Amino acid sequence: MLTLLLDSMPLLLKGALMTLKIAAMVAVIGIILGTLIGLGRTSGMRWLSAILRAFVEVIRGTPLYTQLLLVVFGVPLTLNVQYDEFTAAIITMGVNSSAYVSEIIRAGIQSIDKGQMEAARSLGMNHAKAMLYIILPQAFKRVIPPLLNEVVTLIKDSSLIGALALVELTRTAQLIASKTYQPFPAYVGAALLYLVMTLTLSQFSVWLERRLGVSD
Amino acid sequence: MKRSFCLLLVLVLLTATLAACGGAKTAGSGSTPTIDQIKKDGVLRIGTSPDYPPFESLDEKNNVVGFDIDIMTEVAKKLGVKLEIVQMGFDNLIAALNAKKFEVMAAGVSVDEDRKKAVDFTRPYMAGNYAIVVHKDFKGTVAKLEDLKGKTVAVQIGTVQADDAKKIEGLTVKEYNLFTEAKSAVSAKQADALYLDGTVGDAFVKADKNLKVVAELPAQPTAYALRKDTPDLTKYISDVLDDMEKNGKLDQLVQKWFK
Repeated sequence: MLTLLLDSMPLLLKGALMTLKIAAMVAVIGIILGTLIGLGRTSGMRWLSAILRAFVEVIRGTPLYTQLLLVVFGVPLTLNVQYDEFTAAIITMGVNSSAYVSEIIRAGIQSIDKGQMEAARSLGMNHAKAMLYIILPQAFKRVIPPLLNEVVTLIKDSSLIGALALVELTRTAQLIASKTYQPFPAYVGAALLYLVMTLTLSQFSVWLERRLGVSD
Repeated sequence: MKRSFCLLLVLVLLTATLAACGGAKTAGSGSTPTIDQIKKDGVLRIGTSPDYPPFESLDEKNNVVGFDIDIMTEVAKKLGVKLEIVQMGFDNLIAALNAKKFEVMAAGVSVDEDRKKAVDFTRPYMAGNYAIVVHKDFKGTVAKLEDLKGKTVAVQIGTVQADDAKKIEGLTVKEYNLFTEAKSAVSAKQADALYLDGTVGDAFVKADKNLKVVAELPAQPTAYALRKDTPDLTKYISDVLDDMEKNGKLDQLVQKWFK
């Protein structure tokens, strides 16, 4: 059992690297797009805010796996378009994540005291400038824990991409299990590697929070 | 002194019991513990992945139907029990069989040396071809897997075809959960070729006008896989297959599903 676990480690590590790559790309898309959406929703422009709210509700109201199946298998056959399904899967997951990130950012912005904005405006800054230099930096600091929580979720959810024939960590374990007919060591190995990744990230979150807390 | 005697006694008794159990298991080929248990439970459980027409697929009402299912229905009828079908992905079937989730893996399984280490096989009931299926826009000639160098081949995870394809240098192999997904990938040009059982390939090509068969290759025979600790049931199913071949029933089913 243990030898099987050790034998499969090199392959599993390769899978873990792919998982990290996927999670990193998705996190970048999710955080940038999510911040923009969060800003849009707190902009005070009613029509923009309504459209974005509808977007967030649709994305959050349907499972990521269904969205991935739809984009990777459903759309190309029906609309007769061809695209690289890896890119498509990453973008789908990034857009999915942006819906959650936007809510985190919105909560962060709304948690900053109204007086901050009023003070910045009275100093002659316009709304955009006040948002960028005064509100957002404070908001970001507050939402670090939920934001990194979202990245942890991404690392775990990237296993859904494995079901679409892209070989990441869970898929690697599945391949090993299908070859050795011994599912236990393969999946335990994968679980351990996920744990290493997520624990590292949550430790980083704790450190970052303390580091940025110095200026409070 | 007394205690060590007791321990010794327990050990002796234990060994005797184990020996007796072991003896009972191997005593004569007449004993049929698995079949007795199935008759007692009144149900024969089979495991399959219904993405593999005409061996097994889902009909309009989501019932599992197919060649394997008809044969297994016959086996269950001979045993005088009900048939229960457990569905899961093909790559999980052997592990689930050995975890006793069901007694027979009826999934168009190719007999293969690696698998023989994990399971026993009944006598083969099919010896067909493997096929390479491509999109009808595909240019070039393909006679064997090696001709697909530099191309992407879609297969199902855990299959003999997946193993074969991975042995060839220069092929990019994509392993899907289901053969139907692998088929969609070729149809949507996300993969160049599909490598699978010939009869299943024919069924896919018939259903999907985007596809065509470009090559047929010799295949491993197909058989049912069972746990190594149920030799009585393995033999029973082999005998039923013999009978069905003799009385023409097997041929009838081949006509029904493959022609």
